[in-house]
Amino acid sequence: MTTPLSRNVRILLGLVGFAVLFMPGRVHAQQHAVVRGFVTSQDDGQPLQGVHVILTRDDTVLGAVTDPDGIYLIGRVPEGQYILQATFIGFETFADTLDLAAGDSQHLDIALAEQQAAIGEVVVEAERETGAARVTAGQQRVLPQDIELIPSPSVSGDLVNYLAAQPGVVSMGDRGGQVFIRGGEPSQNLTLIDGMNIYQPFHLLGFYSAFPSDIINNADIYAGGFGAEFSGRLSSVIDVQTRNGNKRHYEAGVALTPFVNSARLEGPLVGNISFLGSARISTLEEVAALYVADDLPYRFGDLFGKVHIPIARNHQTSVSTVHTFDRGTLAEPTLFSSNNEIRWKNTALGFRHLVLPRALPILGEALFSWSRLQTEFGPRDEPSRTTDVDNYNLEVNFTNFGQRAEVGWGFFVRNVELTTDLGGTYQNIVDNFVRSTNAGGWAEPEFDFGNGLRLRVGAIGQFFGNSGFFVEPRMRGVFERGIHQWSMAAGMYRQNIIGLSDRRDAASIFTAYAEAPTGEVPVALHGIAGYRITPSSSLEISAEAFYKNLRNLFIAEWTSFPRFTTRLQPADGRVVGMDLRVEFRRPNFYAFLNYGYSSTRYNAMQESLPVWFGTDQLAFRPPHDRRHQLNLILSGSLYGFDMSARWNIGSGLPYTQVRGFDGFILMDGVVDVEGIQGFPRVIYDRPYEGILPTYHRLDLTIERQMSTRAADITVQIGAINAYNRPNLFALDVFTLQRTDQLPFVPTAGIEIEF
Amino acid sequence: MRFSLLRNTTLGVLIAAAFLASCESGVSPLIGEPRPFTIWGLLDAAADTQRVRIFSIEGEPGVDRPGTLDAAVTTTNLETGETVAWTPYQVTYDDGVTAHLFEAAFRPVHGQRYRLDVARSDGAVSSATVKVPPEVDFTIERSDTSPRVYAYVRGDPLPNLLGVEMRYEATNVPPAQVWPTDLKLHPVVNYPVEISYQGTEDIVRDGVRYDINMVDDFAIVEETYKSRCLVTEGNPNIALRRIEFHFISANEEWNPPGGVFDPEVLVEPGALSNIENGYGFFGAGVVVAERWTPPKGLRDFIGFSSEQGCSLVPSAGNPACTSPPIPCLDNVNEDIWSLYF
Repeated sequence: MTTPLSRNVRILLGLVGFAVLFMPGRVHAQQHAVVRGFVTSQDDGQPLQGVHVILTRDDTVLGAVTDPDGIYLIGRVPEGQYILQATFIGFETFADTLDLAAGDSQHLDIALAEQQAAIGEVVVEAERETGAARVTAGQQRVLPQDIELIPSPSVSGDLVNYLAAQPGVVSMGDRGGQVFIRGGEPSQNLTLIDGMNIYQPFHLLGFYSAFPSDIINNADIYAGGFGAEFSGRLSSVIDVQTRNGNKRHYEAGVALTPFVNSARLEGPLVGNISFLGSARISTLEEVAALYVADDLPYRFGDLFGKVHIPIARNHQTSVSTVHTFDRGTLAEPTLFSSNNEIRWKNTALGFRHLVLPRALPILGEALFSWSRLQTEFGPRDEPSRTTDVDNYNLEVNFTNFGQRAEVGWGFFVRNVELTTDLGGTYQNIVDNFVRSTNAGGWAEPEFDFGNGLRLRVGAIGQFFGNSGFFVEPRMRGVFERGIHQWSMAAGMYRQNIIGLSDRRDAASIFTAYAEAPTGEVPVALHGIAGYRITPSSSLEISAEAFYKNLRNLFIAEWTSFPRFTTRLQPADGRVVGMDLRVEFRRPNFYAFLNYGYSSTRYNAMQESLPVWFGTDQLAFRPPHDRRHQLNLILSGSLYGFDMSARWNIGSGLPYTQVRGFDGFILMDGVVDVEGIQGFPRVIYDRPYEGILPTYHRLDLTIERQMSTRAADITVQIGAINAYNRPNLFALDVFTLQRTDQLPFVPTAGIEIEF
Repeated sequence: MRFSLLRNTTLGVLIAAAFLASCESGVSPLIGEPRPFTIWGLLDAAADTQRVRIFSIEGEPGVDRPGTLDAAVTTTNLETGETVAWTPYQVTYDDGVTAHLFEAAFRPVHGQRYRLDVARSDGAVSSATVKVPPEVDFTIERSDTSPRVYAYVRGDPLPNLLGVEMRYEATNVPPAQVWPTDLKLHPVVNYPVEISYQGTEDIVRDGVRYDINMVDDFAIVEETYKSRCLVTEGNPNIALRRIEFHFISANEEWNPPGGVFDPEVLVEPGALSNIENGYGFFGAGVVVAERWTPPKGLRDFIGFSSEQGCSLVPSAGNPACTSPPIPCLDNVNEDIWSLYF
């Protein structure tokens, strides 16, 4: 029997071998020189991203900017003597002289030393490489220091808090573990950590995810319009790259809060090999429950480990692993469901190898990862629904570097195994085991026209299981002129492994995964147009408009039976909206104001619609359609205290109103109406025409950092929902019971770093 | 200066917080329903006592409705003007749910129209008007040697025919003994299979004819038994006890969308409803049926058999003895229904 792994390896090796025969750059590499290497910090050996590496000779200036792995590569360099300079704000400039002959391939690793006088304005300038308003056609890069600006009940931040503060991102608040990005459902987001696919990364308590800020090197958020290197999802991408462990000395950190305790350990192993480990465990049931009036039946935690191995000067390997778990009940037991506990576990293991071949102006990356999601709903000893997803991912990616063009290309093979036991949840989905293979290749050259215009045009060609072969074109463009930047992105996206959720019940976050029916692979078209202006080094303003067209979706059918077992119906949809962001940064003050408008509409095509409503299709607002959202984040330092505040207001979500309650008897014959008990029934109004109350909340934190000879200590106090707004989380229309988000909760925490 | 700034800021924040906290956060999902009742029942032309189940449309969820229902039920024969007041009574099921029913002792007359009124003390009324279908002439042509059956239904006019089905009352035939002896032996399962002939009629003089091939039907029965794990390779036999051909002669309004009584469709209030100012359905009709048992020779020809797969002396080498049928549920249909009964 052929295992999925060995089959994948064979497919991939075949594709790579074929591609290498026709690899671009093989001829040109012999006529020009190539300079490449890694740029790291001398202090801790961490790769430095965004370093400008420039070769100059007379009037010739060639250069590159390091990527998140600290890699630079300057290809197609004419022979001659050059001065190489590596500059990065906050670090001493590195300079060297290189004699390059035709066909030379020089590898030069650079370790930059920190400037001792890097304070004040310099720090501000360094941070301008990213920023909350620095969005380019739906894409923004997030660094740990960006995350730290958002108030959070844990002393160190978490990526999910940053995400939830962005316009166009709808989270279910402090409960629920789900994030909707620009109208896309959680299962339509591709979430990667070091290339490993994590299906359900957000914890039950909305402040936490599998991505604590202290393991993150950078995170790229694509709210839409993502390039050809990503595929298999309809809506968005969260691509997290973790940092390497400290290569010079050991570091440890411990943080204690009423919600979560965490520990981190990192340092050098043998030679230049380093490790990084992080662990968190919730303490809600033991600590926070002592003084919070609401029930907090949540238990969750996460583990992360990474070993970084520089095998040779031009080879680097890393091994990463993640494990998360969640267990909790989001709503009270109801008449029809006595145990609503949901449990899930993510487990992932990934290998990543980077290579800078000596003979070619090319960067190669090989990724292999396995990830698993196991979800259960109902009693622990006898869950009523389960779904397991096993994901094997094997891919090779290359980047060819030229003077005016950079070509990204690669191949991938993904094998997904789905095991579901839905207990009749989706009555027209057969419970079974499904294995689905997705294989294909992508190419996306980026052209720099030299006048501020950069254009990436690419495509993916891929096979989806039994559904056939599909091509998805992608395009991204940027035009910069002075303080202005215009950007756009467009593309076609398909998703063969679909998440099935019953969105009628906010408290039911169980998501079953299934392969799309043959010939009905969900497909989306994205269009994004953006403008950004940077009037000064302190101020940045951006605006973006977006559109998503969605086809072949599957949503829960409506039914008047008071239950959440249902059949699925086909639907189409569209999302249209805009974001406005204003970010202001000074050395001791930070402000970020954003407003998001989003309109999501689904067009349901349930067979019963003509009978019920006299129409073949029914347009409605899905329950995550938050039309208006405004976030204000203020952060500053005063008398040595760091203070942060976040105020968030969002318009009400749609829900289906109820006209009354009666009973139903199926009159399919000469029925004995005395002998048949019948069913309770809800008489609903038209779907999702009611609006829930507005959501708003203020979170505050104050931190003080102290350094001793042995350790750095951070003490934090804060308040969640500072003015005790009773925000609705879920409304059970069968029982008219409401479940609210967290009330006013004071928090305190301490972090000690050695 | 700094102190006053801090004080004013704090005061401002507190006022803003108080204002924001007091914003409307309540939600009332119940928007009300002016219709007073939901009615389920029918006038059965073959019964001397008529019954109807009444639900009052409530603003509170729940299935347990004890107490007296504020409703008065009457029927009026629109041909004769005769009015009958129905008597209320309650039935409480095992799980404590109370049903509100009304009954009246009369037999509806074929071809006559009746109006049912359910009135609340405040004057709100839900009502339905139905015409009892005319009598039909039903004959079955069959023989003891042929699997073909012809069912004729004639009438003037021909009424609405519902639920036209052949019902095969059959059982599986598990072995009498199994090997090894600790293997679980399941008892005989009585699992009737109904095969619809709705919409298959041929038009004949004064009526319709249904052409039934019991050999074809047996293939469906066998497939059903296989899907429920009631037969195995070693125990493939299905025994036939009785056959019934039946239909309902019904009023014109008793006509589900697409001709199918799909509870997922019909559960929507207003789907298949003839109630004015209310929900539910009130029909009129009569069941017409004929039952028979084919002789053994014909049963064998059709495919049925009572023969056990395992002899009285079980052995390890006989698959009929070592693989007795173990019934399995059909998740698609049976789970959902068992959820509620």
